[in-house]
Amino acid sequence: MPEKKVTAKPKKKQQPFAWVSMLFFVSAFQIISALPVIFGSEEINREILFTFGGFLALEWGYFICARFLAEQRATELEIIAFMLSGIGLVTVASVKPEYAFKQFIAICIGLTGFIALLGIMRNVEVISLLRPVVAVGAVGLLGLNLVLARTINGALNWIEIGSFSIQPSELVKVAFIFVGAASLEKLQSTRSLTKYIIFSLGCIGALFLMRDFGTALIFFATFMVIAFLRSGDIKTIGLLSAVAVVGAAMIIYFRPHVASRFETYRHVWEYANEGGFQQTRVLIYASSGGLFGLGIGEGRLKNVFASTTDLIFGIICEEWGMIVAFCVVLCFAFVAVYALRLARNARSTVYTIAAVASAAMLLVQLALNVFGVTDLLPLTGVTLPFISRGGTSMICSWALFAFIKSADIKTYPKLEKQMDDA
Amino acid sequence: MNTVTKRAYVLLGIIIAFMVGIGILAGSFFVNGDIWATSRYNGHLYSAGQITNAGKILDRNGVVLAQSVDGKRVYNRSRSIRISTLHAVGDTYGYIAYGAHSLCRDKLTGYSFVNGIYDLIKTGEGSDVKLTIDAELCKTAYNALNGKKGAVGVYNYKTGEIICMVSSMSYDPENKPDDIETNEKYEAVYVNRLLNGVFTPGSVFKTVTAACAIENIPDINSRTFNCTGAYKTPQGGEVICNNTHGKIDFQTALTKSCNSAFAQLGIELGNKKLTETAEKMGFGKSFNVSGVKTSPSRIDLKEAVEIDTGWAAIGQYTTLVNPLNFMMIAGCIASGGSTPTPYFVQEALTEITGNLSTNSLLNESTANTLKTMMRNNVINNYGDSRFPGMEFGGKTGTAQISGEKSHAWFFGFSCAEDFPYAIVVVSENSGGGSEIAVPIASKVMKELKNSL
Amino acid sequence: MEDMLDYTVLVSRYLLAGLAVLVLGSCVFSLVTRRFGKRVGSYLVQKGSKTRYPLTRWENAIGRSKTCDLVFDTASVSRFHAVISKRRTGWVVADTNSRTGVFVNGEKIEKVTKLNHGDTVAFGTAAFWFADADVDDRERAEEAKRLKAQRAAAKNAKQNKQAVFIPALIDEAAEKSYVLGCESCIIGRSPDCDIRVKYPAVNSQHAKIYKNGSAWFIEDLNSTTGTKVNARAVSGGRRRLRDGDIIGLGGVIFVFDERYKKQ
Repeated sequence: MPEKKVTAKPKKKQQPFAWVSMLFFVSAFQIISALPVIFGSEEINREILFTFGGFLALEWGYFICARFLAEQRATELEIIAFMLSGIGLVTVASVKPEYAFKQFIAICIGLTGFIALLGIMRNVEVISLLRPVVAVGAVGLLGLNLVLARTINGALNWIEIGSFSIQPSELVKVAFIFVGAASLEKLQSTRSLTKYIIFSLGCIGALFLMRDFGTALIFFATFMVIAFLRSGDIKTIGLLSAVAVVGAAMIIYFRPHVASRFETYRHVWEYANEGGFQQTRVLIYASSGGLFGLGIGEGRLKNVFASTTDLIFGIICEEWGMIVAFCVVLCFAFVAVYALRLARNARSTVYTIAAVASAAMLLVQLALNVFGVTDLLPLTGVTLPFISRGGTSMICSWALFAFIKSADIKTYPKLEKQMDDA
Repeated sequence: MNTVTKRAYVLLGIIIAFMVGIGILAGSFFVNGDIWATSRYNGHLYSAGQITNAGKILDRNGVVLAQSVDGKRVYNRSRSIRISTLHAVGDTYGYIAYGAHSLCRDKLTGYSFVNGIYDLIKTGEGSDVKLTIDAELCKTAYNALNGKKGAVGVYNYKTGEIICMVSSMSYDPENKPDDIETNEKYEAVYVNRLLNGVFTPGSVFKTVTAACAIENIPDINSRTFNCTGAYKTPQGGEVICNNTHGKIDFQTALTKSCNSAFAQLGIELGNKKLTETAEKMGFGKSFNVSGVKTSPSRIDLKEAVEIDTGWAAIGQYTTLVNPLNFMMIAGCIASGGSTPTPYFVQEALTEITGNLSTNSLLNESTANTLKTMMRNNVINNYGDSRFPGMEFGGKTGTAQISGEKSHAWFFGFSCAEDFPYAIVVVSENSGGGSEIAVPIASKVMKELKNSL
Repeated sequence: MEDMLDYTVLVSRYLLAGLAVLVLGSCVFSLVTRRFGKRVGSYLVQKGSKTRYPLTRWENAIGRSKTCDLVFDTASVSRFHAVISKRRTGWVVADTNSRTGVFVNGEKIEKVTKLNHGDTVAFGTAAFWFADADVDDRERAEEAKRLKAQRAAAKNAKQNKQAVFIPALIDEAAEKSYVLGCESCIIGRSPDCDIRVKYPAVNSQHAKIYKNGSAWFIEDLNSTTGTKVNARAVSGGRRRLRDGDIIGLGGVIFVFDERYKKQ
């Protein structure tokens, strides 16, 4: 059919996002939440005070630069990211003060990575150019990990460099999406998924060897989403998931370590002091907090193992209250809605795939974490994006947000002008 | 690009699935939050497996039965009150599954969905729970049981309030005996025998047989029975009576608790009708007493041959009854056939008043006939002087247990308008109903009468 | 100090929850209610029929398959024939394993090739001119301006004579003009139209132009391909026509010349 009716909607003046007032509210939230941590003990904790000072400066610095240097008019996503990072930082500082500074550094690196990734994602040509390099690098990193790794928490997914420990699987998450996102001409000219399947199998296989099944599951779910977006081939994907189910059954059969997790699943109260210890404590203390929480630092869940990583959702519920906790969780769901709308209107399939895959990855990880610790799903030990303690996880969360933001034309004012000026 | 962007809707599926999960999570916090927050693993409330921080538990007169002092849970100062009210109050470890400590955990800890246990942590105080029992009366009842296993229950059959709830054996929660798990004396000590015990009823069951006869035999009052010390059934069995009563009528048969007469009636009525009446009177049914599901009384005559029916009619055979069930039957007889479900946590009063759940265990005419008959039992047999000014009616029971002493039973009621109380007493392996159970009932009712 | 701290703790519980709802709520609201504009980036103008096919995305799949962004149901076009995309350097075309190949200015392309305004691009035997909407719009706007100025000058010259004029629709591409001889003319492809226009993009009865008093108006007759005046859609109702206005009937462009000839 010739010329479709392309009527541009009458352009109403869109209410500009009130970023300054929002920033004041965010800072108020962060200062109020940090007060009991800084002044809670006898002496003022100087290190934490400076860490928070740095964090607030970083926040204001970023938004002022973004506004006036980079001409960013839509910074909601970063406000959400800073808000969540702040909640995580306060929680980490109140439970493990010695990790607060490290967490702050992680936020700094995360933000840097966010900006850098936005730059890389600006042009499709750059992405296409970098894709093979990233793919090789990712598989190489996981391979290196396998060689060097030492066992932590029953998973072999850490590399120690000096005083820093890196979780390569988190970085590979970013690479996984980066490699998966392809432009339309590429999708149309090579319609088979073989290369990407090989790459994914490499990643997921390496994770299995590291016994990091939670992350493997996230990868697999993201792989399915990307594979579907790229090919729309339900038959192949159905076949792959059937293979995965058989594989999972075999793992449960051969690896008692995993099977024991399923044993307590939906029966945590019967194993309240053994396999179900963490889940029952999360349920107990989360419901103790009520809607408004017991106050920061007043909880008891923090004394449970892995409280600031896997169980942090429970701490948020207990100390900050269920309103904050559910706001945080729902927030991701709505960011996913935004990502979906971006994907529908993206300027290249690269961004469609990147935004959808990132949102899917965030949601799957969130679901595994939140529903895992509350016994709606088996506990797999994955982190809560932005909030859990852990540098690599923080960097990965920021990078995933960068993928979503890069799909928004408003991120690139010059490109936007090209689109709007005519 | 349309193809690819359309496929992006796969994300919508993930979002919806996620939101459903969040909904389920929020819902389960809303529904189960009280149970979870008050779990014994909650370090805010428990330490070393014991409740430390919670509100007070009070009796009907405001006597403190348990409270938290300086992070420790302490009970009433009087040892005998501690012991006699233990099953109503419950222990802090949760051994006694249906005491107030377990039943009212959410209230005691002040838990609410909105505030969690914030108030408790900030002030160290939860909400208080008031019980309907009278601690002094419980003490009297417990002492009257005199160290024998058994139960005493007294309740107001018009309102359902349980005034006295005692289960023996009990122990002092502040000084738990070391041999509690091994000593036979403490067999089933954690069970509240009033609510969750079942016993062979003996003659108290004759009330059920009598109710069945009143409803099914029109000329029952003009019938006579000939007791020769035993009843020979048509098929050649024999049910032995406690005495040789000679020629007696229906009323006298109940007063004298004549086995011959009731075995004959039971066989005449048959298994089906006996079972029907028993089930109407609450057999096989569990009552919800302040959240405790009572153990149902049991009657099973499916495989009973003639002689078994004869024995069942006088409360032997395999029949087992729950004391609270009989307390309620007494209440029904006194009040014309129906009574509210008893309760012992005060809070329930406000919840129930508008919507009193009543149990109709008897027809009104049957209840009135039985009321007269049981009133006559007291006048003619147990002695009205034992229940002065109460217009008391009742029935004893002596349940034979092979190889041991009998269970002594008594259940009865006051017909006085201003004193609407019904009582049940069961004392295990201690002898005859008239000798053991009636004096206990007399003592408790007298004290109750005086205290009002 | 201690009291103050306690008080802060007491209030902060509610304040934190409130601020969290406020901040996250308004950010999320702003995100999910974002409006996305859509705009034509370039056109493919079919040789021969001169039909203009707009490309609305930055990446456009072209082929016979119904799922393509631009569907050409011709035997010589493969199901997924080519992709025309906007890149940093401008518009490019890529052949995506088509059977019959993609030709830019007559040469078969092997790799991604740049497309300039006015280039000829052919998918198999289906040949088009490529028009970059930016350049195209600018040219058309300039052309319209020039025409308008010309007519204005003519108008001024003729105003004194107070003559009554008969207007016409001028198809500049085909170098044809249609005189609006009646007070109310139906325009369309159908033979019984007052003005018959033989473009496939024009419906059999596409629009009505009529005179009311001394002013001329246009009305869209529920056409499937739309009617535009100066690139703005006429949908429902009427639009006043002025001398030099550019009328688009389903992408076919006419200029409204109010003073085409004297009565």
